[in-house]
Amino acid sequence: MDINQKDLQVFSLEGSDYQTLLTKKFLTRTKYQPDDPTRIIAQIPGTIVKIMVKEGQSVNPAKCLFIIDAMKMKNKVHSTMTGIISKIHIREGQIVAKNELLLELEEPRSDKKSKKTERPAEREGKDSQRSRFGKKGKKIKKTTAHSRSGTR
Amino acid sequence: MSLKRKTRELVERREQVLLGGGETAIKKQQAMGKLTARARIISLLDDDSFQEYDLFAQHEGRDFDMDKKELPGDGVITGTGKIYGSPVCIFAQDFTVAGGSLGLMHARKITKIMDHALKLKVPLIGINDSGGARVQEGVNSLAGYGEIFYRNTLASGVIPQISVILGPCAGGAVYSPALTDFVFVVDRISKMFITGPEVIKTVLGEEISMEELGGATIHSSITGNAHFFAHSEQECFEQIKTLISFIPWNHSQRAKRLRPRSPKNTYKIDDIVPADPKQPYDVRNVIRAVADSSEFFEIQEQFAPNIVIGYGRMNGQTVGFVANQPIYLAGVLDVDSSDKAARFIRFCDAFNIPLITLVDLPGYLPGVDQEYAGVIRHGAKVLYAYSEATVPRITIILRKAYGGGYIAMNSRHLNADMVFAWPSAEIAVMGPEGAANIIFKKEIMSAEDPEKMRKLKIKEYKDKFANPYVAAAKGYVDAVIEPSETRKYLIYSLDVLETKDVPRSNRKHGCIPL
Repeated sequence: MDINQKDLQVFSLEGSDYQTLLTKKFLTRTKYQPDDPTRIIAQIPGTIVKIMVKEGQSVNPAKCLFIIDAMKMKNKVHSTMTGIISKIHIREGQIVAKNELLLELEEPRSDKKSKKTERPAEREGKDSQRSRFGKKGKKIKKTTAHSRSGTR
Repeated sequence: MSLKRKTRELVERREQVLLGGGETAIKKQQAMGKLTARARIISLLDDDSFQEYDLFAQHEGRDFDMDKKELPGDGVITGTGKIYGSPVCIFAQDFTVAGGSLGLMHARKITKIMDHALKLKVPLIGINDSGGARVQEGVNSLAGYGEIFYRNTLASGVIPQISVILGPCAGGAVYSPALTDFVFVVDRISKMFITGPEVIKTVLGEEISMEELGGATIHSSITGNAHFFAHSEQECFEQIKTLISFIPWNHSQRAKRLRPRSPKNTYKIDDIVPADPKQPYDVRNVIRAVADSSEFFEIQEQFAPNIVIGYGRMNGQTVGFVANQPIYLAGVLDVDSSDKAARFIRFCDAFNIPLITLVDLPGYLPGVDQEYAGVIRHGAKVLYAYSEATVPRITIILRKAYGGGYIAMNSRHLNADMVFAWPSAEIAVMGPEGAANIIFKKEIMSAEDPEKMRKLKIKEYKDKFANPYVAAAKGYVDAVIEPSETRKYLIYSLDVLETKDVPRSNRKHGCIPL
């Protein structure tokens, strides 16, 4: 095999830089991603049979969020954390693929605790959601940081 | 009836069965680009060497109107033959007869020839081309598979077992090839998987073609289930013949010795390996520079290419080469390369093939995926395989030999028989850069110009430790040799090690970390 100098890449190991080729398997390896409890991902492909929660609802790990029919079994999926459902991406009867984002959660805000329990106005809900959506990126980052330090 | 008439009847009966599934089915087989089972056996074996068993076997299916069906030879051809004069036992599933499906008698024919191979102590070759279990025969078909797997296991390490996948081989059927020593696949013809694309689609919603799921390329490069890849059946048969020429008939014999031949002078050993351990080169050229006729028969060429394994000859005698390959991932050990090497080492040990190990690696591949995939237990296999091997074991450290990787690659500490080092060898816990950063951390941090100090300290460390003499001073390297003397020393050592005889304990078997 002739080595084409152009194809060589730097492969660093303990401070030494080696000239070498990278294998396809190495390049396509599964890269590590830390668990993010604010994002509920489909662990298995299947059909969403029933959704037990609404957006804005506060949940805890004892709460069943939805039931997914997969591998001939009805699987109950519980919340990953104590928090508020910020977004539901699924509807009943929907077929979902593995690793699809199904629900998003956010940390409960201590000052909002009293409000949350009342929370009757659906009209207001939609509006506030939209405004929250705009800033969501920032907020999610914050919550992940919180929950990560919490789980460790 | 006169004997003449009876003989004529035999000839007629034979002709009918020899046609297998009939002309239409044969045409269908050929349209798929495949040879018939009989043609395969004829192409693979020496001329006129095939002797068939159980030509007139009849299937025993009674349910679902199977009793009214004729299945010539019950869909499998079995017998004995020769390859380059070496005896082998062989079976070939006949896809033209009921899709090569496995019923009880089909399995009985296979187990009979397997028992025969074990009795005669000759290699077994199985050509797989089957739709799977014959559903009409139900549990009898499963029994048949089980009896084959059991014999595959009993024969392991006693006779070489070769599987050739020339068609579909799915579900439980894959476990016979999986239990054998070498699996041959052919592009676009071989298909192997436990569950097929249809099941995967219904259960998981993932869509994939047969070729992408279990084709020859996948098993040669990704899964490591196959050992030899060919573009055509004919090329595949040539590969099988070459393999047979390198390995012995059974565990109590040595491989056939050929006339010694010098390597070709196109491979100049002094020019192959760059002195800088960070520069790559093709380690197979080092093997070719020392092996007879520069012949190197590589196994699993596409799978885990960061380690190279295969056969060559030294002074006419078959040896197994294991070598880190610096072109790929700088030659690191990882999950796949560890599995690949360990399995090869154990085959060589079981069949009296001496091992030559060429070392040039920076250590193990770092990564979350590696750790999660269990690189600890997979890496342990290499240590285990070398440590338990009783065949002559010779190591040549070409350049870098760092950390745990150095220990694993048949080091003196694992009781190698001879450890040679080239003057370019560097035996250390890690590369000079990493080592200097740790040892001289304080000096580097507190220096006025830390970068300058770092470089100075790296150089200091290199000058002192990046050589083979520190290890040679402790007896961890038996001799430091000139690269051009490598072949001479290898042949000499193999000769000296002819009488090697290591007493083995009477334990049932070790518990290799699988």
